[in-house]
Amino acid sequence: MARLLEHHALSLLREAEIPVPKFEVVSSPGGGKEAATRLGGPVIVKALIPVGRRGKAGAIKAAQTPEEAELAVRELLGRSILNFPVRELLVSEAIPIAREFFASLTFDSMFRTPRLLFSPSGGVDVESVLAEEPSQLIEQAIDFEAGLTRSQAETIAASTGLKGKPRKKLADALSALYHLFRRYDAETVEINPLVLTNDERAMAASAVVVIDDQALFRHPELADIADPELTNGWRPLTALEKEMRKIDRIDTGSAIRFNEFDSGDIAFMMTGGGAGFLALDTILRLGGRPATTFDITPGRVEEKMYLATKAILSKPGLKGMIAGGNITNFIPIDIKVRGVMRALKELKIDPTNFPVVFRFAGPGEEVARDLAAELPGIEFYDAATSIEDAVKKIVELTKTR
Amino acid sequence: MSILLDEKSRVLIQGITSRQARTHLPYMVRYGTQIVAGVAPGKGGEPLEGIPVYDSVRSACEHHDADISVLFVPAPFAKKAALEAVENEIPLVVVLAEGVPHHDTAEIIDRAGKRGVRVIGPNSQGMISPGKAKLGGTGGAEPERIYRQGPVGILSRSGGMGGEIANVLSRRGIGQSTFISIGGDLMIGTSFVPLLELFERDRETKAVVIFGEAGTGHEEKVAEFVLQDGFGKPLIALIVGEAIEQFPKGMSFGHTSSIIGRGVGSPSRKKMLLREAGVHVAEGLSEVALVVERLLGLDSAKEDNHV
Repeated sequence: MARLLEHHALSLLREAEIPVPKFEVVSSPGGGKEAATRLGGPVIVKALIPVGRRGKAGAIKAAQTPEEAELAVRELLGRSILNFPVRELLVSEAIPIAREFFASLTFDSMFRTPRLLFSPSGGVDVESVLAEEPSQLIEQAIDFEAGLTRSQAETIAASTGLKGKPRKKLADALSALYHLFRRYDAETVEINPLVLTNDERAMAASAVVVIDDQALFRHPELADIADPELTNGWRPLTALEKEMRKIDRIDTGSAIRFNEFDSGDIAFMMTGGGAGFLALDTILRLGGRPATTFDITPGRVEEKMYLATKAILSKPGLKGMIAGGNITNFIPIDIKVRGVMRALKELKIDPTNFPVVFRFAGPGEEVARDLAAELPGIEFYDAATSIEDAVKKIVELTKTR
Repeated sequence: MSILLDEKSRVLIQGITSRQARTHLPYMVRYGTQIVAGVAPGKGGEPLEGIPVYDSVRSACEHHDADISVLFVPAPFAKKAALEAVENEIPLVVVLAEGVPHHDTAEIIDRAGKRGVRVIGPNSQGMISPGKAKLGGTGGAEPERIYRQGPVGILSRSGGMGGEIANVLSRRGIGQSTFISIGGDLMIGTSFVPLLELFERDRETKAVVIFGEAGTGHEEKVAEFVLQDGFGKPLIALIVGEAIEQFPKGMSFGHTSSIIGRGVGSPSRKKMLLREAGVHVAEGLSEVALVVERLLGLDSAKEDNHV
């Protein structure tokens, strides 16, 4: 997923002919003051960070005058909010609100169609609406072929009790939002609040756009604004995570997925979507402390495993490592093991002092076993030993250290 | 018997000249899979390993009847290939590619649903009915290392873990009827429930193991289905991902589906609902084997043998 920063999201909405407030992006208190002067009247100052619930976190401030805007920028700039450093801020005109709504489009994993969620109470996050007033929420399933029809959009707009021009404007905004969702391969688009202004316009006061990064290959127009490295989902990438993304780019045929934990003392490289989870559940249940999670799909795996192992083992405070995954069908496991071994040797790791457990099973097992034997002390397990038992071993071996 | 795939299933391979297909093809054939034709746009005419190759699904279908089409097609082109199979109403389409864009998957599923075509995947490793036939990479070059014919059906959101489950069962002498890797993506063509219904009707299958993960409502649906309609055979579930409940929301792991949100998807809740429905929830791989053994009455047989 690639979550856009809000000014990029608002620009896409504006392009899709959904009215948005006038806004500027600033990176200094003086800039904030100037922007507010240009915009004229009261403004809203928001930290540009790729994360939701900014209001509750204090990342949004209202300013009546350019001086107040300057002050608001000064207060927010350089702070870390919801784990993200604030480097830029959005200054936007404060719009006169008559009513506010919530609208979002996303895929539902069970219905496997786009769903439009609409609530007549905007301004709060959808989770609170779901928790407090689920009956208020309108959920519209959308047929993929037909898209969001005009009559569906109008029915939803009518549910607010609005009539005439404002109702039409609201339906227009919903239709335009659906087009934007489809056009840019979005995972989620959300307008919250979707404001009905005093002068009867439907305006997106704030917007979220998340692009499916698996579809970025067909959206060169988003290359500069959709950055999958902006966030790892809840905080900026760590130096090691960035390093791993760099390693991943040496070959686009295979993909590495990597997380680093603040604490943890076991280099954890158990791969496989399901097997990785099973191993992670097991290590935590046994009281082990993983320092990383790591997954890799087939491709130029040897070089990537070598570079990844080297990078992970540079993390301070590690007491041991476990590498491996589920039984492979075709991928010769000796290729992975060769990469890991190269790194271990180069780093002069002594597995009799720094426990290393392998659980590799699949074609090439004999070769892999021989490779691992080149460093005495490595515990090598194959399909005869379960993933759980291999994990148990590394927890035992590192516990006493 | 088995479900969806056996030695009589007539299989079409789309993307037959791709490197991935060329790797897997000989092993599928050797295992007994009946491959009737291949499709490779612009490369039709020249047979590959004795299999006729056509430029389009349409022309392949003019000369052959196919029950299943398997797509060895990279993610960016998967939609076009899948829709071609759907338009030609091949009853079962298996999408192996990982990384198919969400909007493409939604379109594939929508069109397939309207034409009565069943889709497995995307991000499926394939399937195997041990001793009969296999599709995709499942089982590799030597499926008999892991899989053997027998009474247990396996459905898994992770291809690798389906293999691990078969491995622990086979090591205790318990074979499998069919294993289907249903796919690790956020949206997949066929989830557990419709396949459980097939297993329930399959005489060879005496018990079913499902492997679930964090995210989506697939396991919740199983609980609902078992509670409402009952399931006439022992059903065992292994659900992983409880660990991610301890981590910040939004953290991403291997499968695109492993996101917990909107009240569904947490593994602990899935396990609770499954237990309440009477499903046997195992706490690990070794427990899966033990529970299956007990429920099939194989443990007492073993003890008797010892006496």
